[in-house]
Amino acid sequence: MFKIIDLHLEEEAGVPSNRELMWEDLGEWQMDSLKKMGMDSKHKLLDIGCGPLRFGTYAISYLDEGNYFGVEVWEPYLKLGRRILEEFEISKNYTMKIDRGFDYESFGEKFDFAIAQSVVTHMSVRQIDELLDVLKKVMKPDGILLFTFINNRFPYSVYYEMEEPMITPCKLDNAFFQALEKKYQVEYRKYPEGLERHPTGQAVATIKF
Amino acid sequence: MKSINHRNFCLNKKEVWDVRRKIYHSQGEGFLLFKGFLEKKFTDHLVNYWCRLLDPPQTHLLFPGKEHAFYPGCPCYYKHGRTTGLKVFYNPLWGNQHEVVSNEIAVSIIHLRSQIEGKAFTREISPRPGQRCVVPRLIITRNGENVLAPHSDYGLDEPNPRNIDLARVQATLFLSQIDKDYSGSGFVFTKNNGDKIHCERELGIEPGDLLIWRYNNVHEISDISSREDQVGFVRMLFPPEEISHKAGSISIIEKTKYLLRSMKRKLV
Repeated sequence: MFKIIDLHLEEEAGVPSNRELMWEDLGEWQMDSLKKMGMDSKHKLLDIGCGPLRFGTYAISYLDEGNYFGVEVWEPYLKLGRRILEEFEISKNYTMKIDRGFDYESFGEKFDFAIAQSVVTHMSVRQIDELLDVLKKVMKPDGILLFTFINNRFPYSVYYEMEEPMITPCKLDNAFFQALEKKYQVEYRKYPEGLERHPTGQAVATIKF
Repeated sequence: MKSINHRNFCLNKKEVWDVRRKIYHSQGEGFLLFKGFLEKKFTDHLVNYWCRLLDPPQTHLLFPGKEHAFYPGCPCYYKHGRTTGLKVFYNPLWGNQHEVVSNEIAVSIIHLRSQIEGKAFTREISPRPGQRCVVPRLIITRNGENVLAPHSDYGLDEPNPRNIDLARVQATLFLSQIDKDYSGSGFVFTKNNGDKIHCERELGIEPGDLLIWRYNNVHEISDISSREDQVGFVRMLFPPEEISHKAGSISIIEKTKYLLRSMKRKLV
């Protein structure tokens, strides 16, 4: 953990936080959940808000060469992610890019699985709609998005690393997701069977395309 | 790094990361000293006000103990150790309206600290029940052994996981000088490499210097002594305190003592 904190500081990516404290808990939960949903090594995975490749260290190792694709808005994570993979001695090919505009089509791939861990928690309602719009285009038929969220009573803002203003959404209730389900012709399921509770207590849901 | 002081406390991006590496990185010291954070006229003012002029019962209530002491609109408190001469003043920013200079200085330090921690400055300056809020504290230690037992705060050994926060730093604003105003161990801090440092002597700390240090490193004050003609070890700290919903239970005895003292002063 302390090595990961050092790397965050060296790459000017962040001060010590829950990221490092929950590194293994979250990474293992993500991996376990996707496997339970049917992900195998041949599948292609889109990791939305991949951070400094915390889950990447698990997923890149597991998936076949080149099947991991990560997107992130916080630029310092790009280089930090490379250094963390070096630290974990992971040398498989992967793709990661900084993206602020849901430009997932530029990968030129169709994905079997997508994961958005603590990402919807930092998106406005409009952005969630945009996310589904673009995922509808890049996910394979029957592809699955696994995501976590919090159903706040009101929106509040996050000042990420005192650099990035972000808005957390509110009223992410069943009616909200059912409306999206109808709009994008997808299948929404809250708390899918068989998954462990999320380590932070966030709600967990899937969308099948 | 440009001179950082209570009038000029905004760090640029490079400075922020330089400071963070010194404090948090395993190869860093775990602390950073801002020499001359306060000009002499301000340290003189604070020492004069808090150590010489103030009659605490006129401005502060007796400290009822940490549980439920701090709530929105709570008063300032003081604690007085009759045998050791220890005085502690708890000065919530909303309550300490009688000493505006202390408030201004406290705000500059809380702001500087928030930049280092990467947390929003406004997060912990207003009291919100259930959350933490900084309550600046002024401490005068005159004599004592094991003044502050070795311990760490917000570290991985916190019994309540909610209290673990490895980004937390504390700030000590030194207002008196070791071997002139007091003697003894002074503030002893364990660096990131595990070595101990006797801060005042080894860093040449003078009144007005600000030490920012990693809260989850072990720190202690083993002994302090001062003569009658010395002011003692005077410093300001900025602990984030838990805010409760309503006034705590100040005991009837304490309330009575306070009322009697106030009446006596009016009569005399």
